[in-house]
Amino acid sequence: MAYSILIVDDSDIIRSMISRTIRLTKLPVHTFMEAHNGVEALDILKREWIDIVFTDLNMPVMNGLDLIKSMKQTVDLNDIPVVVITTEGNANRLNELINAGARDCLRKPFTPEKIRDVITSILGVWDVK
Amino acid sequence: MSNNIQHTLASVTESILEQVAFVFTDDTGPQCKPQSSHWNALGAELCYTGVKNGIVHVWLSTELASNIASNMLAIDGPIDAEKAHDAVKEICNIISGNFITSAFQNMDITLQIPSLLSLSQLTEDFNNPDGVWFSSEDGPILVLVKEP
Repeated sequence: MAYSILIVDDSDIIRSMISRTIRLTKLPVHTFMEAHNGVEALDILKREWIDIVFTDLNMPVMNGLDLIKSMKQTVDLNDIPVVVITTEGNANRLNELINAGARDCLRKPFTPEKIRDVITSILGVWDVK
Repeated sequence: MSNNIQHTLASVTESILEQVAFVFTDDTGPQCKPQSSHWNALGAELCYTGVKNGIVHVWLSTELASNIASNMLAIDGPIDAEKAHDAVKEICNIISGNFITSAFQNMDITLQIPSLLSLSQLTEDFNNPDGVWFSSEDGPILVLVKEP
């Protein structure tokens, strides 16, 4: 069994960096899906099986906080864990994200070790070889 | 801009360039400025609002921006302009977020989305005495915080 991961960020480069970093963790990944903003992410989440979402905070169209709030209000999506990857380190802002339903927040720049720790703590380790 | 803020900005910029883009600066200070304000550069800005308000500007030589995009994507070969622009915006975003956290701790400040700067802004920024300059193997770097 392997993870299906959705990466939400308006930057092509950051989406690519996140998926490459996750590959470096050697965790089993079945599928990477990508969205440019919260609206695109919700569309994918309604159609595809996703185990975990990594999202940016500040994005056009729909930001990461509004994405989390929308997911929490949608019965089929409210159990999917969301991790916010952001440059912000403000404790109040990070608490707001956790209170809204984010499972964790990672600061940019991030390392494979940090991403691995977050994934395994939320989903557990599956068939790592 | 206070010396303390400039020092924090310089320190954060060096650290982010190393960690995110694998770019190591050679030197920092006004001696790193290019001869002319018409240097070949790409710039991005990020506004922050709240208890503190301001704008962070980041300028990278075009060659350096392309190399950073290559490094961030871990690919060899030519990089198209769109990816170089994306790289400048993201470097600006990450420097700004980390600088604001370091400089202003837990003050309630909201970051906006980074955007590209037009070249008409370059001359003004070039002459701004608050600019922090770096040199690197692939060209100069200018970082600047503007507060009202």
